[in-house]
Amino acid sequence: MATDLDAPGATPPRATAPGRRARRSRTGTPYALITPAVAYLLLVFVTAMLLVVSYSLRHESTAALVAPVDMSTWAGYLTDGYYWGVLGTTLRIALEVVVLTLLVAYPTAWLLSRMRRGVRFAAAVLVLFSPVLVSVVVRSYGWILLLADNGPIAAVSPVDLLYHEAGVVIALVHVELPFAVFPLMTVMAGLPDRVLEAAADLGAGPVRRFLRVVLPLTLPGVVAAAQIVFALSISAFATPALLGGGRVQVLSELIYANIAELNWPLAAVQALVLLAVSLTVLATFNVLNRRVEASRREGTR
Amino acid sequence: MTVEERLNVTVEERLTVSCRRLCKRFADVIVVDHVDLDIRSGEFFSLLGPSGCGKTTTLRMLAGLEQPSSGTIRLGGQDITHVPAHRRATNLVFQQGALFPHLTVAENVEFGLRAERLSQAETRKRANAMLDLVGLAHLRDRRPAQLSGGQAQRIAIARALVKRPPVLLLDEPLSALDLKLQVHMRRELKNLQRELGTTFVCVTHNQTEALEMSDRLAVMNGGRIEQVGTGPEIYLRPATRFVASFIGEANFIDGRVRPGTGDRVVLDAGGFTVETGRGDVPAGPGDQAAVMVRPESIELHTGEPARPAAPNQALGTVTDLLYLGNTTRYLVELAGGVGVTVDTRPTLHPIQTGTPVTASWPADAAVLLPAERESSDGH
Amino acid sequence: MTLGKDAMGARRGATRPGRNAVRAGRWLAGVWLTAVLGFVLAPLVVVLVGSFSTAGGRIFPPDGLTLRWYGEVFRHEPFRTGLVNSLLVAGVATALALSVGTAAAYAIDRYRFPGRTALRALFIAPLSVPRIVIGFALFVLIVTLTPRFYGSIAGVALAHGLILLPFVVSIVGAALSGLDPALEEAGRDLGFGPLATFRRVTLPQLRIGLTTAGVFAFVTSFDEVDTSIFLIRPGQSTLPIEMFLYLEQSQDPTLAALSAILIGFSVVAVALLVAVAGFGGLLRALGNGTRR
Repeated sequence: MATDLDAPGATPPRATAPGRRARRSRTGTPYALITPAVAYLLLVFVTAMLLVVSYSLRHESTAALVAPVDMSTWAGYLTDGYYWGVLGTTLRIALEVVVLTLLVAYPTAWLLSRMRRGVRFAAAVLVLFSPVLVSVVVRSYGWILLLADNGPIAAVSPVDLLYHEAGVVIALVHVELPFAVFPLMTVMAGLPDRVLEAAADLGAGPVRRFLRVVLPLTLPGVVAAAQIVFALSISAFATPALLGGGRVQVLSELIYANIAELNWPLAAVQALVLLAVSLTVLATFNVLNRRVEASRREGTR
Repeated sequence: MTVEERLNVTVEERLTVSCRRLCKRFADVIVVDHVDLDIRSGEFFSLLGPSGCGKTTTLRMLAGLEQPSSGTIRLGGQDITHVPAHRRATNLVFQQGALFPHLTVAENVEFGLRAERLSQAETRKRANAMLDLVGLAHLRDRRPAQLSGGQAQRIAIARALVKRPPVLLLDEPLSALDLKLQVHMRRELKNLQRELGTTFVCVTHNQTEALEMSDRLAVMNGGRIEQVGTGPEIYLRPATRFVASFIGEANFIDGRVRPGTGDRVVLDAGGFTVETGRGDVPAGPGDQAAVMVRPESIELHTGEPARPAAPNQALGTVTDLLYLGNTTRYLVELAGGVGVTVDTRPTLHPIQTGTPVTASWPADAAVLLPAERESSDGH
Repeated sequence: MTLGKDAMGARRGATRPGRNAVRAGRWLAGVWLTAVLGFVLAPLVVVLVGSFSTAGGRIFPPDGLTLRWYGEVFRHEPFRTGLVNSLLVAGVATALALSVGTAAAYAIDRYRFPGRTALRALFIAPLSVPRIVIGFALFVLIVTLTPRFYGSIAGVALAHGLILLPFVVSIVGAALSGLDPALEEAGRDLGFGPLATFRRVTLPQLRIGLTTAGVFAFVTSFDEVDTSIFLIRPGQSTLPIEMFLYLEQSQDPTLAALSAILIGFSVVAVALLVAVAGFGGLLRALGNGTRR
């Protein structure tokens, strides 16, 4: 009879592990813990953002907390071709940076994800990540030295680099590269070798394998990487300011310049435009990401 | 009937844990539904049931890790319903051990004593004694990650027992171990409990484990307690169809109660009759009722019965035959279409499929069950 | 079974490119990785080499080697005050973000309460706002409401804390969600109250997450330019801002020497993290930190 009793026909083993048991609290503990952070964000962050909105609705001559609402700053900004041009430059540079960064990051992430986890892998990842931990001023300085007219690269370069758009783009690609490699690597590491072997086994050549199998499966990583790089590029300040040398004007530089000129309302308008563009980009990529995920799920069905 | 009932006065004192109308709701789901539970001092008590039956939640309420929605919990006569976990005398052995990975084995065992602010020497002494008791003193400087599953569970038990709790709570203590080790650890746990005389309350979904270790057990289903009793009581006298089918194999024979016959009940199952004691089950003449007969209580004979009209026997045909090593299992279709399972000792020449047989069982092996609540049978 | 596997391997081998192609592919991969890593390291190496250059003008490639620029770094007064200010700001901002963020991450991970998801979104929100906008907004806030704080360490730290908070909440949150809540229950069951349990059980296990978040936050704040540039007063600046302003004026090797020292600090920071978290732990923590 003992064998019968052991046969768990009547009792499936516990399917639900009680490993993660979140407390449902009727006490104030979670609120007490969360209050400092909420207060901080509301009092500092939200208040500051509201003040920016408020200032954008004043005019240079009436830049005070209590003043009549005045749309002239907005109107002036939106009808001035120069500002549209700067916005265009900002977006163009960001786009160039996204494309170049992805072109460099994709194969790099792929090679890293297929690398054996050893010392060489660790070293490669650390080197790749190192720019994040080095001050943006130091990195920009290095590029200024490298790209200078009398430096080692200018001699062989067909285009002007330092204090031109190309220089800004190169330095930005350098800064954003790790932010693109890591999401790509995460997605690629989750892609089992079996999938590729199966594709090869079914007779797909390398190009077909890449276009039909690898690229679609890693697309979420591509979208995530592009999102981060785009968002960071359009709002970059120090790199374009130092490598553009005042000749390459992006939106963030204008905001800073207007503060120096004490034109807060105009700076506020530009800050809000930058914020709006940034949020639009993030939202667009979120939608894109959801599309990609959805089509992938349908594909596997 | 029991000793306790005759010595009614002392019952209260001998109870360690006692729950009254204990309920727990999560959002709108009732997980524990008016549970009454009395656990005696020094016994090994198990809460047995399928996953989601509320046994773990009940245990966690005893530990103070979950607040009851209503009802009371008393420990040694004191109301502890609203005492937080860290002020309760009970201690819990967690399902996966939940050893602190950043502490050594010895530090894990000493952990609970630090809260009691004992002297360093006393803490050492008690922890060492506990490590000796579970036979793992040589592993004192290891980290939990370096322990096998069985060792980790022994340390978890030591860590809880070192606090000298009047009641030790165990949440599926053996479920993470492989089967062979489980069987070994059951005996070890039982011996430990006997040696210390501590009350153990153990949650498990494993019926063998519960029957082997427990002095008494409660079978839970759907947040309610279906039956409380000793192993043999639960197995031989199940109170509900759920209990009968959850523990071991069970045959159910449905029928209509015949009129008359005092404390005996005769059930008309169509092609045959079953006669058995009434027990506490209310079943009037004409009512639908069911009896349960264990497969090993049924005997098979080839040929016609000696006394054709007698109860507790039925003609049938062997429909299938399973050889299970220590038993041979027959599937028999009885007159009236009732299918039963019959376990017999294996023989070299078993009855072949298609053979007409007579199945019979002793009257006291048939247990009358109350009319079925639809919800209680999850299987 | 073995036979079938071999047969499959043989077939696959036949459809695969030849041995030479595989070798060429491996060679190409090596060249690519070397080139990318070279690209990443190039500006840092140039700075390091340039810091030893004798010439004051064109410092790369250097004409001769000297250590005198390292001396110049410490003689330049703004760098000294900048360094002190940066360390103060980074220290205060890191402490602020770690304490406030850990408490919030704990509440979000361990409790179920109304508004929880919205709050999680709120804590990550500053990450979506360009830092230059945060800097400007904080400038407006401080100048308008508390002008006394303009240019103070506290003001800059308050702004940096906003940038660091999302990192802390997500890194510590990830570390918490990898922690078995049963461990805390065990702590309480064994006789410790909620606070003592947090200190004795939870905190030691968050060591890796907290160190990663802390070092990451400190370095981020220490290097921050975009927000600080709105919030400092001339003469009371942080180090990166002093460097930024210096760079706009001249490019002599003093800056290269200072940069080399800072690169050295970064190497120490990474080494510290690898020592505490191990390489795998660092990779996991950063994976959570760089995700938006």
